[in-house]
Amino acid sequence: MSAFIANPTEYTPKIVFDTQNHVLEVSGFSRPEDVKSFYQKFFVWLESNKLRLSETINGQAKLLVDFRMVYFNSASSKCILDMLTALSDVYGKRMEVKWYYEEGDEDLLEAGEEFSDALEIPFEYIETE
Amino acid sequence: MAKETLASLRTTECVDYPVVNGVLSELWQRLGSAEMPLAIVKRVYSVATECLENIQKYADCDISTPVVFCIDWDGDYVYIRAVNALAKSKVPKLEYSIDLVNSLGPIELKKLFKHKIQTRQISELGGAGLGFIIMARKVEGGIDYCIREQESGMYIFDCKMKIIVSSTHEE
Repeated sequence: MSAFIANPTEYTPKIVFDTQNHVLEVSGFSRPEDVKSFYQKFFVWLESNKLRLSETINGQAKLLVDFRMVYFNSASSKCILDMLTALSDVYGKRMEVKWYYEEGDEDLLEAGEEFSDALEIPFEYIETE
Repeated sequence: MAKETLASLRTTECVDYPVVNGVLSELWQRLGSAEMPLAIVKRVYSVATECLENIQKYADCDISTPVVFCIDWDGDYVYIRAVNALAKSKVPKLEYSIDLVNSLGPIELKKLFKHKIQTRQISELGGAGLGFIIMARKVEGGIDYCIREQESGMYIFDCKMKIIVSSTHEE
């Protein structure tokens, strides 16, 4: 099973889902022109790989998620939550989310706390300089 | 300090994605060189994005009503203003959405955001119904707006917001 890769642009995030090592990395800006079709690619990919992914997880593998977002708009926040929800359907609570935020960016920290609350999964918050 | 303009747009053309990108790119650069805390930079950028995306998705073109979008700051506050034409059919929903977020305090806004992000679907226009909630959470004193009818039959939506920069000026 190949990885899911969305290369970053000025307005869209980098999304890399390494299915061999169970690592998802999301970083950069997210305010795509068509937010629905941008994130839909991930959902379609996940749906078509769900079965094989579940086999490799074998009820044990943990997903490591690295969020290094600079900014995401309101519609992207909905899509990011949906991404994490879809992954929690596959991995269950075996998800370790690292939420990076720049020192002083209290709104980004709060956004992470709200995702964590909505997903009922604890996040690790990492302040960067 | 004297008022400094961080972003400015005035056009009678319809605002599309490249126009939004142009304004936001310039704003991001200017915010980067303005001496304000990172939290405020991100807050201003976020409110500006939601505002411009609303104009791009929902405003109606009207030759007699130019779209106006500007952001100024004076060291203490960042002032955001957005003006655009709107068809009558869009007025009730817009009024309802803004009046609702303006009537809520920070805790209720947080709860509403959580509820909507978990229950709403992305619309055909690419919205999630979260923009005004996000704006209301980031600005000081709510979203100040008025809607006026034009002779042309169109309506003008005029909205003003401000973001506090210096915590020593909290009201």
